[in-house]
Amino acid sequence: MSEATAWLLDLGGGLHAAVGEREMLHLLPDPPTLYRIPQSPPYCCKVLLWEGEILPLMELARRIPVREVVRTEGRGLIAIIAFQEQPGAASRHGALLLNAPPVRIRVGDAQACALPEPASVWRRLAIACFEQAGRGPVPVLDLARLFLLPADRNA
Amino acid sequence: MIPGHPDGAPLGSAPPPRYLILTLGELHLLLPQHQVYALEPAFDVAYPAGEDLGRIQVDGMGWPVCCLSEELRPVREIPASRHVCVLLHVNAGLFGVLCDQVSLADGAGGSDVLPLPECMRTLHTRLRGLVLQEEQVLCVTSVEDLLACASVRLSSDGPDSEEAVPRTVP
Repeated sequence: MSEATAWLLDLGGGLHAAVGEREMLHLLPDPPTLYRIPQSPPYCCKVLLWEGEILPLMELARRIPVREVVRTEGRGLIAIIAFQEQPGAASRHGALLLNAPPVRIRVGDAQACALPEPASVWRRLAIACFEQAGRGPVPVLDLARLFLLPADRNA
Repeated sequence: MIPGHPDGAPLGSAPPPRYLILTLGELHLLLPQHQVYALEPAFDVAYPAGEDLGRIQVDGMGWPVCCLSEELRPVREIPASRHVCVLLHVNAGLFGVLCDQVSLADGAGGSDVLPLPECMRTLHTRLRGLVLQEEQVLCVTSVEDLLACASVRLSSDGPDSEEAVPRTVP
């Protein structure tokens, strides 16, 4: 049985997801200046500056229409994440709004489970899912799909 | 210095295009300067009763003027900060957009444009990209894009022309 290290993310509104250990780059210590970009989807309508790059800020809790979302705007944490379009490609970066600092966890094959509801939404955002004690199913985010597909093709 | 050329630039080389920054609240739009015909004070714009658009007289012709929100949607209630009417020219005539202020973009140009992040693009996106300038994010746009945002078909109310008519963007 294989195990891997991952980061458990509190997305706000009681939602959780995970990313791979090396996909989490940095947690911003202070709230950065956010720039609103018009005509963008409500869950990804702001950008921030990080090391000379303009990064989109993804608010995943606004994307899951299952429960009343506790808005974290203005007091959430921002994590900088890295992903690749394909293996061997240069790293791309994005930002995720979190409700709490990420937690490092170990995940094993035996924890694999079905995606939580709404599964049709999570299917477009996640590549896998595991059962975490005390939290239930935790989707593993497909960051490349999340950040590289145009909003209308990933809605 | 190349003889006969005051700037020392190679003869025949075109100067780099200049850009203007149009400020609408917290939004900063970057627009090629050659697309701007003139700047007029916003108080020169008239608002005929029952019409969605304002009108401004330029050289004896009236042209439509639109107020856009920071989301680039046309709004009827004009924010008090919109002090400038930027007259943009396209082949068919002129079109005015109300802005808070207009300034020259120092050094920002077409080569600095970064694509809009993929996950931020929608069917309605009329932005052509983003430019980072002095810790400020500028949204690159064009006259055609602003016209589409304003949902108007361009026309003047001169002697041989029809009224400006609100139009639905497909």
